Amino acid sequence: MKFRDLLRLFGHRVWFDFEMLRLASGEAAESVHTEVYRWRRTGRLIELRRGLFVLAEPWRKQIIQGAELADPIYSPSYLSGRWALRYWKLLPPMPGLEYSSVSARPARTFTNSFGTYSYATLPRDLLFGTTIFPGAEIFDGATCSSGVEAFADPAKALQAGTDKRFLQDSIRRASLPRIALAEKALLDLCFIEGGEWDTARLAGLGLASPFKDLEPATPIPGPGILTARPGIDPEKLGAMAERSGRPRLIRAAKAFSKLAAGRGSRGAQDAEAPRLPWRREEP
Amino acid sequence: MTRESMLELTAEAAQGLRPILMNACLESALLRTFHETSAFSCICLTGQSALRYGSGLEGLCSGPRSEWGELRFRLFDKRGYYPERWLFKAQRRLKFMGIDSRIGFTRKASSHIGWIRAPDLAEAADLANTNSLVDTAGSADPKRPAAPPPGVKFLIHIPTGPVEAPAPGRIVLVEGWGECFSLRLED
Repeated sequence: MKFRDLLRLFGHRVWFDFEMLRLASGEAAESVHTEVYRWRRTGRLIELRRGLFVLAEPWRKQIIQGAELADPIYSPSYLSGRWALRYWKLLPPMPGLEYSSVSARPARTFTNSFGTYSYATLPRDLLFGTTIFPGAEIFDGATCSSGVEAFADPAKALQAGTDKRFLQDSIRRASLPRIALAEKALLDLCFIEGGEWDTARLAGLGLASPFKDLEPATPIPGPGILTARPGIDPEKLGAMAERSGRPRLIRAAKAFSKLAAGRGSRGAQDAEAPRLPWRREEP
Repeated sequence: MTRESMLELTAEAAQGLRPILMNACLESALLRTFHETSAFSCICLTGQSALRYGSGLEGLCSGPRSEWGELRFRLFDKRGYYPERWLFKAQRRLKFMGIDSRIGFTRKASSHIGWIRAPDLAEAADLANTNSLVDTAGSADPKRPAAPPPGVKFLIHIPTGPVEAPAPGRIVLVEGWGECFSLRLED
């Protein structure tokens, strides 16, 4: 396989794997390994993890956000923990890129030129409380549209335009990466880091806006638009902790409620002051 | 894709469409596993299944008149042919997605049949109140029996003659329902 064939076949994609390359080339696995090795050595290909690649910068046709790669690198998983809390602007930004995710799979860490991707193991019953990653748009809408249009059998049954639109939307949304909601990201962090989470330990996290205030909680999807800080709703956090059925997480949620109540009363006193933003602002 | 996102997706659909969407998600997970285990080095998709994907679609695996998602393959190379292993891996993948599933496999002289079902999904998505057969608008008929749990069945045709042959068909790249995979389609 020539590099120009690779560009033709996978230039439009965010990532591709070794099996895709091997099948598309029709060559023996050994030959494909050699070619991949050469492309990597000459800087044309970046290996995200063993057998998973993206094209390097001049050849890549898409702008890739590192967070979009978290799920493909170790699927199924979703972004959570400290990275998600930073994304929701509840923790201050830190130098260095470490994308923290959770998965039911064994814990792993991968390092590549996009950053460090760490995956913590979460029991399967704790995999809930996620939303579509708002900044991501990895799906090629044109392909999706033509696919549904060309569909043979069920399309007859789904003639109505609304159904087609629903299907297109469903296929697109199913392919988007996911991120934990602010409350779930905090619970996941409590679970992953272990130990007892009392008010002192929670306060030590340095959460910028620990509880929900007037700004909207729902993410606003769109390229480059980050949601306004959603804050953490103590009630929602409590409900999620109850759903998890873990006494330690329930205690952590109660401690958080106490912390939020404390800060809330202080916040009410501060409300008369001219400006006291919840968000920690850059100097 | 996780169990939660799958349920979220189906929750917005009409009651009658829910089992079809679930079958589509399960089919994608199964085909992604086949892709990862290099299954398409020895089998290719044939018949209606190939037509469906050949027309450029990452789509629905079962029509409203079918309770199963069905995939038909043909064996063209015995090397690396381990269908039971693929099925176990698919079950493992579903487990990581948070879905408990049941699998089955039957070997006959001229065909191998495997299936994977997810009964807990049916309960979670309230499929018990869904009819197995729905009309074209996706609405349910109260007289008809409840839909069975979502599942995908695959049939691999085993040629009786020599099976060593050059790799047939063409390769397509499919993206949809939370998975991305290559497929070998018979022309």
